[in-house]
Amino acid sequence: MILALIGTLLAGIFAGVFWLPQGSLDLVSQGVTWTLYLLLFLIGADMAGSGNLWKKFIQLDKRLFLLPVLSILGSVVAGGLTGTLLQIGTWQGAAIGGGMGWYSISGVLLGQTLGAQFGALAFLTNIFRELYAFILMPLLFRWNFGPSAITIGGATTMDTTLPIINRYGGSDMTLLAILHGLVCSAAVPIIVPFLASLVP
Amino acid sequence: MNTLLAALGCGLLFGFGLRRFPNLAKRIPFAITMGLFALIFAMGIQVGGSPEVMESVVEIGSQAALFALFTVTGSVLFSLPLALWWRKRQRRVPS
Repeated sequence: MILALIGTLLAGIFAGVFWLPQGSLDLVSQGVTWTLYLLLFLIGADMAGSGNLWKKFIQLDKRLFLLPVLSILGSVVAGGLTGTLLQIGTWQGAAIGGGMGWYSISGVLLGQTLGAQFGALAFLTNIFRELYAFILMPLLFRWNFGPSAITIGGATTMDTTLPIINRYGGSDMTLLAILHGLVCSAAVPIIVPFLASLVP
Repeated sequence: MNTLLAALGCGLLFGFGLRRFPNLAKRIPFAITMGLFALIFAMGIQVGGSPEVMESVVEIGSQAALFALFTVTGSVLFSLPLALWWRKRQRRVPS
């Protein structure tokens, strides 16, 4: 199944490069959006059928609510280290790490504050993060590292990567992923400009 | 974000109604799997078909790939104690 997912992703990229007629990218984007809505609808239906959701949410151990905080901290610290390693600046790297996979907003925010070059790097980094999520999440779920698997998706765990989480992690992890995605999505527009403002 | 949550909410309502039709409800996981493949394929086309993305891949692709790998690793490592604790707890209280 994991290999099939990777193969599908690569086939899609290949089709996009060699087959997609010019001017039809908007149509594909609309297709992605509507497929996502349909999937979220189906996930909702699946969750409703899996028992009392409110009870499940209440029963989630409150320590798991720390997950988005740890996820953001890890990403920002690792971003700072990578920025230092690649000699593009610690705070610049931390700001890119703070994008949490939300490529559209982090690209725009860093483009506005640090310049187009950093905007492009943030945009592409977060696209890569989403692609890695499709590949790595099923593996971590298989090895029973559920909460850590969720963190890979960053802010996308309440949208594009939620179907993967639902498929491999079950309804408990789906609930946690929605919470994780909501917190990360709320945090990105605050964290990225803040970290960018620390650039000397 | 609101539309995404609305889609999820509508699905929940639909799912509550679907409890009376267990045969139909049983087919939802299969539909999710098929939808997942469609989404991943379409997202691949979106990435491969975007000239801006492909041009940046050539210019700064290796940097971005490394950044993404490190930030993902950072998130996983920081959350690892929580995941290990959760694993231990799962073994004690099987769901």
